[in-house]
Amino acid sequence: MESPSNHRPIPLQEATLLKVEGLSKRFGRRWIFRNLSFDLGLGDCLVVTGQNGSGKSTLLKTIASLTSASEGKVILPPGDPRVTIGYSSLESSLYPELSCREHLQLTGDLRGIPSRSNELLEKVGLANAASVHAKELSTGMKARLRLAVAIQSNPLLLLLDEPGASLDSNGRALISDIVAEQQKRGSLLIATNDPSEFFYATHALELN
Amino acid sequence: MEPPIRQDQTNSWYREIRSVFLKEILSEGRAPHSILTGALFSLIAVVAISLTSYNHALQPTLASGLLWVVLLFASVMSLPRMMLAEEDLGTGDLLRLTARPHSIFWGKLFFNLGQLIILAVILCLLFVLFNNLTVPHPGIFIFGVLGGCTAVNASVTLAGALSARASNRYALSTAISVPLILPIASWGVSAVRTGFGTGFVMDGQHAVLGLFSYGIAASAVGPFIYAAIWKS
Repeated sequence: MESPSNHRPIPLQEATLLKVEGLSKRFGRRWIFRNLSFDLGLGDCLVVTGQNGSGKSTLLKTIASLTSASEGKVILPPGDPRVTIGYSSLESSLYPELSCREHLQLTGDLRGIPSRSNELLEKVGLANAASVHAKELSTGMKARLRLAVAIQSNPLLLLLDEPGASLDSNGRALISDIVAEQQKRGSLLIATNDPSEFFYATHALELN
Repeated sequence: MEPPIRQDQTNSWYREIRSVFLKEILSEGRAPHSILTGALFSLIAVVAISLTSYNHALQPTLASGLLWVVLLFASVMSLPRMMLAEEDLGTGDLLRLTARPHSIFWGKLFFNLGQLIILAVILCLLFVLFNNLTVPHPGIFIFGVLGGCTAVNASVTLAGALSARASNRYALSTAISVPLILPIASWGVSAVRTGFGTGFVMDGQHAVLGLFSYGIAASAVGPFIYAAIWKS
């Protein structure tokens, strides 16, 4: 499984990595957002802002296909979305009884890619907590592990929901590194209300 | 900057199902709520039945009915958690982002089957020993219980999968389980009753065949239904 011949880079053939056309979402009679359209290409970083309940997280979930759109469509990067899309959110939980390394082994095996657990745990600053179970991690450490899972496949599209929440200054530097790397590889979408994260934006979208 | 990683497609289904299976073993092994719930319920039920029937030999028909009541309740109490717990924990999204629904279903189905067979072996041994029962047709008894485990496991896993994303998932899971389990109870009682020496051997064999057929059919349909509601 670790044979290098099986893990060649996927060539970037499409300039547009994400295309959103007339996307709308409603819960019952309440529209969360309506008729959103935008494209993201290589190097783009769209920062989505808005008040609580404005639909930032729902927009990311809809793009990640975790929830269905009420109207419109999302055209994702070519390839298996398990590999081409990375998603990190405070809402997604971890298995309390699995360690950091076991999480990366599980998601790597499920995605059909090498777990890269040592490399990723080193990168997100959890090398010393590789064998610690998720239930024993602090909130900030859990956020770092979620980031490691999100970037495990070197995705073409990275979706980050409130990435800086619960992270310390080192963690925020990590976000900055991840954003810079992702902009060279593909595009990303960040939902946030943290002004320090507006700095990453090449495009901005405010939801009301 | 590293380029995107290409997937290794070799043995992908096997690897994914094994990963889900191993994840369940690790999670359940470190916090064995589910199997302990089933085992404790079985123990208490068997002891209660044996105390109630103290000094009275249980008739094979009644004994087979009671054994199935305990086995069905123990499995309905413990098995759906495997599917529903993902949504309770909030880990469903992690799986939806990284796994295919068929792998999840099969991984959980195999884990549940292993758990149910362990539970059934413990329960049957305790039941036969505590109630001083004889088993003149052990083959039909064993295959009846194994076939029943296969059918119950497939039905209950399917019920858990169908209701996993509903807001009232536990009530819904139980409600869906009832009609799925009724035919299993009927065949299961028939097979075990024959195992205990009452009724025609042919009826017992037909019941065993029915149980395995039902289990295989439910197992085959389950992943497709689960995939259809996977991201609803």
